[in-house]
Amino acid sequence: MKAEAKWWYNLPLVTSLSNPDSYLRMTLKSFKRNRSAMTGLVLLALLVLSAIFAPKLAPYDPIEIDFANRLAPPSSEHWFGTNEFGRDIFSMILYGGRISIMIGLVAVSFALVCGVILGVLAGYFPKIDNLIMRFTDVWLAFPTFLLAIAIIAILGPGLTNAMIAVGISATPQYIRVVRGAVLSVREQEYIAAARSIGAKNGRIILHHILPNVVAPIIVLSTLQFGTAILSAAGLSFLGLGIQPPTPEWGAMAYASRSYIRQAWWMGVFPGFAILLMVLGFNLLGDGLRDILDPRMKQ
Amino acid sequence: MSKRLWIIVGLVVVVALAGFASLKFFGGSDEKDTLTVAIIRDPDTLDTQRTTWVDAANDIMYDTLVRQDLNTGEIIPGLATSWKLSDDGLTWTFQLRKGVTFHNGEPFNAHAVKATFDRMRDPKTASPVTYMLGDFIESIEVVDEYTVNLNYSKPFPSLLNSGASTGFLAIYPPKYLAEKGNDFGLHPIGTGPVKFVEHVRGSHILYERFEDYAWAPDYAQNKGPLNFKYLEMRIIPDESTAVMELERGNVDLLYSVPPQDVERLAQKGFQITKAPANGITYWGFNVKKWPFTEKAVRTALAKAVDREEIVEYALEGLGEPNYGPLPSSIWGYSEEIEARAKQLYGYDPEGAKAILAADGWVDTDGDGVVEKDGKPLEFKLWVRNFPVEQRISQIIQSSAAKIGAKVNIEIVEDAAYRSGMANGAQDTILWEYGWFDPEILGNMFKTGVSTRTWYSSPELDELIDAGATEVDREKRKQIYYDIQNNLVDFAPWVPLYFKQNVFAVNPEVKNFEMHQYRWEQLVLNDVML
Amino acid sequence: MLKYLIRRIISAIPVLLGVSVIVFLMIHLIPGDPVQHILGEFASPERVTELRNQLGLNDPLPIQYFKFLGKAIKGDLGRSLISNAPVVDEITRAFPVTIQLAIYSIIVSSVIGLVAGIIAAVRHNTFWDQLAMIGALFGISTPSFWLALIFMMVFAYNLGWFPISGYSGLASLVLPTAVLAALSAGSIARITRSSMLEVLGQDYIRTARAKGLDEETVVMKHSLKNAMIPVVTLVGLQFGALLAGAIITETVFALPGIGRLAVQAITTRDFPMIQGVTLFVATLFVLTNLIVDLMYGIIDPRIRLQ
Repeated sequence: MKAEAKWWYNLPLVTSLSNPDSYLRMTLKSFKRNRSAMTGLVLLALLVLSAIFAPKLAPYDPIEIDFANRLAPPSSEHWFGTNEFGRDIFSMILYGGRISIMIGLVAVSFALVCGVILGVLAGYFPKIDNLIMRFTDVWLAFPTFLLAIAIIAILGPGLTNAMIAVGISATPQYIRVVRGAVLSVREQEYIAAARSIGAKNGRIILHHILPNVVAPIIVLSTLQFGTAILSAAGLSFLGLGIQPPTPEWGAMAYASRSYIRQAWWMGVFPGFAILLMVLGFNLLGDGLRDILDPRMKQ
Repeated sequence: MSKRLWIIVGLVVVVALAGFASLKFFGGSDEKDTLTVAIIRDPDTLDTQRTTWVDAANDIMYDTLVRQDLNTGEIIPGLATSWKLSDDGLTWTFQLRKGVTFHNGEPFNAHAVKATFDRMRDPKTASPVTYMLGDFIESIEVVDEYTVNLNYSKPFPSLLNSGASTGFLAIYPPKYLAEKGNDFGLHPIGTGPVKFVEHVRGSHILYERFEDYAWAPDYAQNKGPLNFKYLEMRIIPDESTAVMELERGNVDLLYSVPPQDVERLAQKGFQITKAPANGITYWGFNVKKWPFTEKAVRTALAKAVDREEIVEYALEGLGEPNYGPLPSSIWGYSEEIEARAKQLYGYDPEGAKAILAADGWVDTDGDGVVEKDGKPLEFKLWVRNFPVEQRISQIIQSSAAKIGAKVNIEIVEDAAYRSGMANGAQDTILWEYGWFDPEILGNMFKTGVSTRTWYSSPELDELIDAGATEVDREKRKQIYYDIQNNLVDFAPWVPLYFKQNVFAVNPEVKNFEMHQYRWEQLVLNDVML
Repeated sequence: MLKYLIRRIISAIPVLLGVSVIVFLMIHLIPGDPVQHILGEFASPERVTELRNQLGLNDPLPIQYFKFLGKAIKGDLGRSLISNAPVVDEITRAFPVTIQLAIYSIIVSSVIGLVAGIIAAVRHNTFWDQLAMIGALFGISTPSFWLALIFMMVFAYNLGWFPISGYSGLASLVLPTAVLAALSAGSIARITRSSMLEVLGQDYIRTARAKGLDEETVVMKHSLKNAMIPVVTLVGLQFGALLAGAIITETVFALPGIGRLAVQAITTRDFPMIQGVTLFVATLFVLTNLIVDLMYGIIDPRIRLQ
């Protein structure tokens, strides 16, 4: 992970916020040419749009109970079959997408905000650097999933707590990445120049350091989105996350265990949905990394 | 470089082999010699005095003073051959069986009984189940080698029903017990037909036939050691995995078959036996919290529930709706009360809506939820992490929605659940109670003890105390009749159903009979593989 | 070399202390009274207070912590609140299962990952490269419980080739290993590939090729060693994570390993067990990283001299 994380050292330096246009145009062009990023984007767009328009697209109400049609295999009426209550699995998956996206968003935002703040502080002020890095090391000493479960044990199960738990376990990655990016920029000449002119730390951070942190953050966040979804699904699968009847994909897989022999569709489709969404984020993240890292352009 | 590679590979292989060697393989038992039972819970401890849950996993190696007949439910001799209650009701005298030894050779006699029960009452044991002996137990007296007296300050007529036949009052060997103290549970010793071999947490408990077992309760033909050598209880927490293991032949007996698999297993030729549970599952209200303080709300919610639906779809038909406080399998059950409860609180969603409306609940903002005084009829339902209960909670949620109540389901794990209830933090819960004696109603609803519903009624408390100490059977029955009426009137909870406990057994296993009254006890004396 | 070793070991100590503090604090944040849980709800208030005293829950927090730390260093992690068995015993019983699973998984995934990654790098931008990378992507995107359930249903239940659940020797570890390996081989393949590509583009490689050395020598002798550094790091990290017990896989296959022990402890609020297991796992993790860093030092002398 250390080596894979060092890629941010080589990201192009944005010297200041005042001339981002050509950089942006350049990036967009590379983006369109990169197959991985485009595939990921298209896949995600499909999934996100279907989640957003779930109410219009879903043929049934995902919560409505219909005992007459319970445990029905996939058919033209119920594309993905129904569960033990007769709920349409396809509709549940569409609505479940919203929850997965929301979890990813909240967890990643949480980790991002905390991570950026701590990472910038650590990178820019050498005095607190040591403290923050020790702290991060301790954080990272706990295996990620175990940490999430332990946090759920403290906070109790539920959607909000799952998001917090996943967010907390994802934060140390951000701290490391941001700190690294800040470090690589801090010693540049123009920073010293700006300081000699008398620019205050705050301004320097805002105008010179942060723009360089943006690129690695974007890549990391995209990849972490996928990880967050997997973690949250894992928590629900253990019964520690989302409460019924919320159609979260991991929770659906959990409920499917009781009927796995007579209704394989109850577990296979939600799992596959998770796979697709995480795949989308990974494709996009990979592509972004390729674009923003000039050394890989061979 | 390749040299280094070989060194690394060599190291890895060595570590792997070390790992291999350090593990104890489950070994030595021939398929035909082992009865493998799948259980869902890993018992916290095998020391039954220090746990709140007893079933075959942790009581199969013990015997108790009395037993219950498999089919009639009558109390029959166990380690005690006869018993009598003194005229004043304060002393139980047990005549003990001669010629019984513990697995370690110690003799079973009155001293053993005294040592066991004294240890249970010892504060150092911190036993959560001392009430099984009775709250008013004064002393245990050794009259002679095979006679023991249990002396009480107030009568405890239900001793035979409740304590004396449950694993909680299993008899321990005195010398060994004194030696081990609270470590007894790590390697327990009893007088039962099997002795303890090992307990690998999360994996299995292994028992071996006790060769010197020389008696058996009346319902068993085989008055000697078991017909097979090993009993392995495999811990498989996921019910559907356990069923798969049964189907594949890795497990011979499945304790508690999930309802949705019963049909299939029967068709595949497995022996399916059922016994009605001796308790009911219910939807409990915290009657100290608004809106459950209002009778109208409790009544309406009760009427909103369709028990048939629950039994059909959550239990796959393996149960019966129950409207009153006791199921038909517990002494003290009254058909009259059951009928009255059904009439008052049976399924009637229109009636429920009318009651709410009459009480001032109106849906002012059109969101489907009714309000009163600005507060919506919205509350939490705590449910444990069991698949059947989760299904039930969703059905209840959907039924409540039909009358304008919003139920938010919360999955709460055991520990948080119990301390939450102890603090009255719950709104409503899905739980169950059951026992062999109607005194369970006392445990459920008496002031100060009942944390499930926080119901408190001085009249009820008086009745409960009377019922616990009334020796005359007829009078006792009348007291419990009154108790049940009190509960039906107030309705602090909604009894839902009693379920059928189902066992599935591999067709190769012969002579297995399920205990109709003590479904959690495994009767293995006559079983042949 | 020795200085480097000592320096690294010393820097691990504050991390371990930090871990112990957090583990200790974590327990006290958990709602749900442990004493209530052991005694059940019908316990009298006197019993509750008594047990509380016995467990030392009434001492002020710092004192509790030092007692905890003192005992932990001596190897006494307390006794399980549920079973009264020493925590260390339970961990010792669960660990062999987990470590076996970890070792087999890491071997299989490393082999697959390395081979796939090397081929992908050497046949850069060809069909094999694409195939390997797509496979790797699927590997890292798959939810572990999904794969575990599918493998269990198909290979254990329907085909009957392997045991369905529980630990019963090597055969019962095959499917769980397959699941874990499938998931981690992906990231190993990706790192190997990118690392190899980086190295293959270096000047000294071009020199070797110019010298006329055949491709195999170029790849195996010159590139591989240097490309291994980031791969070794990743493998080390993954191994450490596997030692934590692949929680979900252990749950699906009902393997009595550390992961399951941890989940059980958490759901039953078995405080000493939660503390013991987390401390144990985190310590292992730190140690594994330490070893990886030391191996770094062996493979790449430049790092030692920093």
